[in-house]
Amino acid sequence: MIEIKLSGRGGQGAVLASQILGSAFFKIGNWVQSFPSFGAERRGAPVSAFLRVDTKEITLRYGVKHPEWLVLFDPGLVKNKMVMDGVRSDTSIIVNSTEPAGKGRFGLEQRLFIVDATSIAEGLNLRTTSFSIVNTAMVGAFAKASGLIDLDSVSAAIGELVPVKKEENIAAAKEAYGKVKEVSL
Amino acid sequence: MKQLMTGNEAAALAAKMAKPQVVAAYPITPQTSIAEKLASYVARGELASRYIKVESETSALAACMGGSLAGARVFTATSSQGLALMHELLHWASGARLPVIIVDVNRSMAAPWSLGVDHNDSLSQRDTGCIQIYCETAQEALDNVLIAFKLAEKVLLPTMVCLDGFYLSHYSEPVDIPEQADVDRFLPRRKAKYRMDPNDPFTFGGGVSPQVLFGLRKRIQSDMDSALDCFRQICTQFFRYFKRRYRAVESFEIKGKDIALVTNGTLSGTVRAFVEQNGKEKGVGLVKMRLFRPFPKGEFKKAIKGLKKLVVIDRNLSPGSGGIFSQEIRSAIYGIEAALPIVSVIGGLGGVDVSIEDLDRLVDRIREGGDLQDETIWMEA
Repeated sequence: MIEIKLSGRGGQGAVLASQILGSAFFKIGNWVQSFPSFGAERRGAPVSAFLRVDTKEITLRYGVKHPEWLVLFDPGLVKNKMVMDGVRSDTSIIVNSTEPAGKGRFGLEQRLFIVDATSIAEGLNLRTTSFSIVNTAMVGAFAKASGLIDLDSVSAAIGELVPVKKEENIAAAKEAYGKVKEVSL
Repeated sequence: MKQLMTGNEAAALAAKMAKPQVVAAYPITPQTSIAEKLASYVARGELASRYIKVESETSALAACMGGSLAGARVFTATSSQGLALMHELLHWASGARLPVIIVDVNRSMAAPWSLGVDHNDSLSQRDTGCIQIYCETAQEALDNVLIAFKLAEKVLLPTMVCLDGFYLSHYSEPVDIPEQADVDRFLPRRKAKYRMDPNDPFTFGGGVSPQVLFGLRKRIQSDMDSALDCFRQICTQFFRYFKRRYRAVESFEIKGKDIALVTNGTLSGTVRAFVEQNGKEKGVGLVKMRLFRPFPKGEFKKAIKGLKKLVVIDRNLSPGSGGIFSQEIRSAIYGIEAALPIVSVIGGLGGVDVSIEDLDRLVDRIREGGDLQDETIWMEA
């Protein structure tokens, strides 16, 4: 079983990102379970969404304790205790950051990937008045960095689940797939 | 065909497929998406139902009761304080023998405010005469709603399908969607024997003599008893149409084990995973309670044959007594030969996670702890 945590700020689309990835994994024959963190979500506050993927039925009914993959939509979340809770030395982390080296790897010692999802989203005009919508770019970056899911399945899932600007969102995933880079220790 | 959906979406879809003529619901977290989904089905013309907008849960149930009295199939959904607000009318619905379907998305009762799951909201309705069915998965949410309509309309009692808030209502997972034609055959349009009709008048819910009331109460008890047989028959029919088999009490890998963990709701899923992983080594299996009212005494006794100890994990608390399922189970098995020791555990109140590691520690403690029959074990966060 693979466990993935996606964290962003309320309004950035972390919950939809977990649904897109869930749908993509489901399309290629997996059992999936995706869910948001529970509580009263507010715009701008840290929000996490989770995904479990397995070849057989998943019957667990509790939060992901130790994600194998952590996808951060905002580099500021590296310092957030709630977001980083349960992250272990073997967790792989993908961060949306404008700095390719990620400011001294944000002090992280785990396997780290960086993608400038904000610039990708801005370039495709994926934004609301308050946020760049980076979720589809982060999903594309996850596909490449993890190698667990192919871009076609991700694109198909985006086409089905994203309500507006489907083509731009698929393009964002593709661009991030091409641009995400591992940062060596 | 399998699709990804949440427990709430599955329950709403089942309600739609059952084609109720009246739907009335008031929003409350974590139920709201059921009310929203049904409203959108009606708005888009996919469900030919009167969607009655109401100002409270009392009105939601009252509107459904009116519809039911007129012979309609009716549906509502609520949670926590909302169900508490329905409490008075739930007694009325069962006394008036109205087969109202209520989905309760379980959530802890205030105070303090909390959004997480425990079962005190639905279990507080224990003595109202409302049938109670609990769900483990989104698939069961869909299936149990269909079964509930058939059962309620057969035995003429309100029926509640309980979904754990968040762990089921908001978890998205694969669900096998039945064909509408099969649902139509399994669940034909309701034919009410008695209904409010100006051309054929009856009195409903009027004042009666003490003797008549006594007789009607006795009748509810005997119909609750017969609901167990009805449930079994309906599940057999359900299997014929949809190839999924359900029982009031289900056991999982208890052969050769001496301890069973007894649970209801989504906790059963985590226990199932624990039993699959460590059940052999730890000597434990799972007994899952799908029905709470009527309480399936006979099936429970059959399910626990050969076991040496029951560990009942209650996601509820009756302050001053303890876990409600463990009380019911003690009462059900009292007096049978070689009565089994029961260990009462309270866990997961307010939506506290109960993980495989927690269960592992619990079983170790019980193995080491000796009798433990006179104390309650608290699985604290």
